[in-house]
Amino acid sequence: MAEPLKYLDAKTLNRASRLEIKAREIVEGTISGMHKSPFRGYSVEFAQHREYVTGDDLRHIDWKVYGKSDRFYIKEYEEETNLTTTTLLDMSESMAYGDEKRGTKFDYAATIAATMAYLILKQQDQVALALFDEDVQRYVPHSASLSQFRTVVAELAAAVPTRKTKTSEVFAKMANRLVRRGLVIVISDFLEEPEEILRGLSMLRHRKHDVIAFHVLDHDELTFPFERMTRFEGLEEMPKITADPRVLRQAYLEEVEAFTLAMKKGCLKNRIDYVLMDTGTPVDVALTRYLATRMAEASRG
Amino acid sequence: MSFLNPGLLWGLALISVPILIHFLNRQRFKRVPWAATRFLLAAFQKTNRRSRLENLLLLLVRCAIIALLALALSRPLITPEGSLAQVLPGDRPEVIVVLDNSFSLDYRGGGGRAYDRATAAARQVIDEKRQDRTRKFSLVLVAEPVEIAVWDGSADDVLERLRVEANPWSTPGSPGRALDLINDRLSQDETAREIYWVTDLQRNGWIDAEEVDANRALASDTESPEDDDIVRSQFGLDDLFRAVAERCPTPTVVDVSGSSRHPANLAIVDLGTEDPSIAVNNTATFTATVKNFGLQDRTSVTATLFVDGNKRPVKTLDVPAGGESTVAFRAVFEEPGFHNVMVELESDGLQNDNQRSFAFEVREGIRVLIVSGDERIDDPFESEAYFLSGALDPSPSDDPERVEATFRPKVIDDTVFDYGQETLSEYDVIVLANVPSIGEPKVIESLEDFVRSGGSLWITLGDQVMASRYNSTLWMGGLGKGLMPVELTEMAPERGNANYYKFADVDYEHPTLQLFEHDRFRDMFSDARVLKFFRAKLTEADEKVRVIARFDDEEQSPAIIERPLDYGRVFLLTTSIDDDWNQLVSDPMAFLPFVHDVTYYLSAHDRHVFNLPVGSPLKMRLRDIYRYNNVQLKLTGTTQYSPDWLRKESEMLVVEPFQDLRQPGVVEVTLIGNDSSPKETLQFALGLNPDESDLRRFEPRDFESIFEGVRVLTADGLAAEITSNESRGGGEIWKYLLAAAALLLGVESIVAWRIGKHGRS
Repeated sequence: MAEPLKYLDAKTLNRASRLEIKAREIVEGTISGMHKSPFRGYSVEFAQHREYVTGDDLRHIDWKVYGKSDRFYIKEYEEETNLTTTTLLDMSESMAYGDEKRGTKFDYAATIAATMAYLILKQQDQVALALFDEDVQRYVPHSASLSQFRTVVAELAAAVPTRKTKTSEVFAKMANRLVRRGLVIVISDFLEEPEEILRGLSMLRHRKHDVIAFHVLDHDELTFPFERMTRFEGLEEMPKITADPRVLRQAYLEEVEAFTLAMKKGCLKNRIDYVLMDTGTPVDVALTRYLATRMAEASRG
Repeated sequence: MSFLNPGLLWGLALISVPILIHFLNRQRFKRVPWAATRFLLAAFQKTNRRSRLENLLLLLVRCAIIALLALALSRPLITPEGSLAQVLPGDRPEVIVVLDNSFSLDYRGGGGRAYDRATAAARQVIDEKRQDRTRKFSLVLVAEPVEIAVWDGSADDVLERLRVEANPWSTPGSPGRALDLINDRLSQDETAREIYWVTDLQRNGWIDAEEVDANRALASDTESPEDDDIVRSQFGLDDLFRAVAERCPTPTVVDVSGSSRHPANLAIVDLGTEDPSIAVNNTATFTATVKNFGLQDRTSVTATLFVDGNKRPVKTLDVPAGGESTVAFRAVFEEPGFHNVMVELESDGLQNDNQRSFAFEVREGIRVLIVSGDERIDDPFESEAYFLSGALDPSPSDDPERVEATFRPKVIDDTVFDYGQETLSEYDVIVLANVPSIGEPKVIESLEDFVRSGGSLWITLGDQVMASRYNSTLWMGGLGKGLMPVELTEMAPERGNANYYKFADVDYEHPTLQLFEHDRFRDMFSDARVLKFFRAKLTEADEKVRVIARFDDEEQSPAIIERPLDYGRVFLLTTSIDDDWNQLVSDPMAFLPFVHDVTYYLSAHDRHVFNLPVGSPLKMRLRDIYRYNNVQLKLTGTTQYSPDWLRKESEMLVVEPFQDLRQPGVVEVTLIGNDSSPKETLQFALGLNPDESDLRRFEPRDFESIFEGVRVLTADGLAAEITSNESRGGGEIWKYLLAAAALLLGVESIVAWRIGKHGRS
C-alpha cells in the first residue's frame, strides 16, 4: 500500500493524504447511501429470453422478437463484465487557477477524480487515470486492486499543472488507446474552442465509451467578481489584458454562457454527460447532485 | 468678462485632478493570473471601443464639473464689450457717492422727505454696484463741514455710515468744498471712478442766489449775466466739476427734489435784541425776522415765544411772498444769569427753520469801575468821576426809595487802582477818567488782559493826563501793542465860549451816537461846546482804529475813537467829562444818553459769542481757565455730555462742533472747577443758516447747461439706468455655472451608473 507513495515528497504526501481522505469521506458519507451504483457494467454474451415482467428495464427488451411475436421479451446475458473506467484529467496550466480558500481548479478536479476512482474501485471495477496537457503526461493503467486507489491519488497529488493543453489530440489518442468499451470521465476546464473539444469527446464516444465531461471552472471564472482596474495575465501563453472588470463583466459572462451552452449542446448531441462544476460549490454536493441525476436517468432506462 | 474672485480661477488647475486620477488608475491595477482569457479577450474586443468612449465622456464630464465649479467660485461677470481690458480684474470703476445732507434736504413734500429719497438713492447705487465685490466705494457728505466719510472702503462701510446719517445736518451744503476735496483725492491716484451726486439741486447750494439776483438787477438795463456765468465767475464750480469729470466721466447728479422747483417755506431768519445788554428786571425786547421764501403771501402766521422753554402768548403776522416781516416780543427777567428765548412759527414742509433761539446773559447790573485821576477832596463836583457815576446811577445810595439802577458804578482813586487790588474781571467796563498815568506795570498788564479777553476800557482825558506817559506805557507804538488806540500829541489851543470847538464828521450810525442821528436831537451833540481836548495822531497802518467823531478844528482832530483789541475794545474820548473842558456834561439831555449808550455798548462786548451758526465751535473766554478741568454740555432735549472734543486754546475753552452741535437749539455748558463743583453755566444758541431755507431749485435742464458734461437723473431714472447698466454691463453668472455643474453631476452619475451596470449585470 505504501509503495505508490514511496517517492512522494512530504508536501505531495500531505496533498495525497488529504485527497484520499476527502474522496473516501465523499463516497462513504454520501454516495454509499445510494441503493444502486450509478455505474453499470456491460455484457456481450447472450444467455436467453424471458418474458417481460413489470419492473424490468425497458432497455433490455428485444424489439426484434416483439416485432415477430408481438410480445415483450427481455434479453438475458451470461454475466456482467467489470466496468472499465478511465479518468482523463486536464493538468494544463489553466487548471492551476484558483484562490487559497477554494483551491485551484486542479485541486477540485483531482478531488472529483479521486472520488470517482474510490467509488468505482469500491464496486470492484477497474480504474485507470490519465493526466494530460498537450499530451498524456502520466498514465495509471487499469486495475481493480485496492492499491490502485492509492496509486491514483499519488499521481494526482504529484501532478503540477504547467503547460498548454490540446484536448482534442489527447482525446483522439486516448480513443485509440482505450480499446475496451468503458466509462471515460473527462475532467477539464475545456478552455479551448468548443468544436475542438467536442470533436475529441465525440471520438471517445465513437468508441462506444460512456463519456462524462466534468467541466470545472473556477467560481471567479463563472461570476467575474472583480471591481478594480485589473491586469489579467493570461495563462497558457495567452495575452495580458488590462481593463476595468466592471466594463467587461457583462460581455465576459455572455461569452462564458455561450461557451458552456455550446458545450452542453455538443455533449447532448453526442450523448455525453456534461457536468459544469463550479469550484464555489463543494465537490460532494456537486457530485452527489450529478450522480443522483444520472442514477434517476439510468433507472428511467 | 471680469471676475469678482479672480484668485479662485487657479481652481481651474484642479481639472488636472480627474485626468491624473484617470491615468493613475490605469497605472494602478491588480494583477490576476487568468485562465479564462479567451472569454476575456472576446469580451474586451467587444466592449473596448464603447468602454473607451464612456471613460472619455466620464473624464470630460468630471473635468467640466470642476471647471464650472472653479468658474462659479471666481464669480465671473459678463460685460457688454467683452474686451480684454474689461476682462482684467479691477477695471470696473470705483464708485463715489456724494450725498447732499444739507439742511434743505429735510424738506417734506412731493412724497416724503427729500433726504429719505436721497439716502434711498445712495443705497440703491451701492446695492447695485456692490455686486462686483472688488469695487471700492466712497462717500462724501456735502453739508458743512464737508466730510469724506468713506474713501475706497467697502459697500458695507458706506451703508453703515448712511445708517448713522439718518437725518440731514442743519448746516448748508458746500458743493465747492466737496468738489475740492474730491479733486484732491482723485489727483492722488489714477483709479477710474464714477460719481453719483445725490442732491435736491437747491440753487443756494450751488450759487449765492441773492448775489445772482442783485447782479441781475444791476445788469437789467444792460447785458444781463446768465446764472451760469455768475456761477462760473463766483465759485469756479464748473472748473472743479470739469476736473472731476476728467477722472469720473459724465458725473451723474441724482435729483431727489421731487416735483416742485420752488416750494413754499417760512423761516425765522433772525432773532435778537437791540438792547446792548439785559439787566435784571429790565424789559428786554426781542425781535424775530420771518421770511417768506414762497411765491404766495402768508397771512396770520402764528409766532410763539418761549422764554427759557416756557410758552408765552402767541402773536400773528403777515409775510409777503419773497419778503420779510418782524415780530417783537417783550420779556422781563428776574434772575441773573444765562437765559434763552425761542420763537416758533406754525409748521410747514421744512420744520427746523420754523424756530430759532437766542441766548443771552441777564446781569444784576452793568458793573462799571471808574478810576478817577482827579478826585478832589475840596470840590468833588469838579471830578469827572462825579459826573460819570452820577449819570450812571443818579439816586443816592442812602435814599430809602432808591431804585436799583442798571449800572453799578464804583469809583476808586487812581492811586488805589495802581496798587492792583481790584479784581478787574468782576467789571464789565472800566473807565479811566482823567487818570494821569498808570505807573505799575502789573496793573497795566492786568488791564490789558481784561481788555484782550473781552472787557471794555473807556478812556477820557483831562488836565491830569500825562500824554507822554500814556504814549510810552499805553500806546507803545500803536497797532494794538498797547491799550491806547492813538498817540497823544498835544493839547489843542484852548478856546472860549465864543469860538468853541464842535463835534464834526460824526458817525451817527455808531450805536453810541444813534440817539443823536435824528434831526431833533442832533444839535444836542453836534453843538455841544468843546473848549479843550488832546490832539491825537492816528497810526495810518492801523486799520482797526475807527474814528467815530472828529472836532471841527483845522486838523479835524479825532474826538471819539474806538479800537478792538482781541476780544475786547478800547473807547477813547479825547476831551474830558468835565464842564471846564466841554459843555456836554452840562446838558443832561445829551450827556445822560451819551454816557448810558456808551456804557451799554461797551458792556455788550460778548453777546455774539453765545449765538452762533450751527456747526460752529463753542468758544468760551475764561480768564481763569486753570480753574476748569471739566466741561459738561447739556443740549436741548438731550442728556449730558462730557466731551472728548474739548481743547484749551490760550485762554479759550473750545468745544469742537461734534454731531450734536450741528443741530439748531440751545446748548447749555456747565463748567466744572477743579474741586469738581459746578462753577458756571453758559448757554449757546445755535441758529440755522437762513440761506438753506431758500428752497428754490435748479431745473435739471438748467443745471446740465451750467455744468457741461453733467447729466441729471431723477431717482426713478437712476433706478432704471443702474439696473439696466448692471444687467447689461455684467450680471453675475455663477448661478448658471452652478446649475450647469449640477446638471453635469447628474450626467456623470448616469454615465458612471451605466458603466457600473454593465459590469454588474
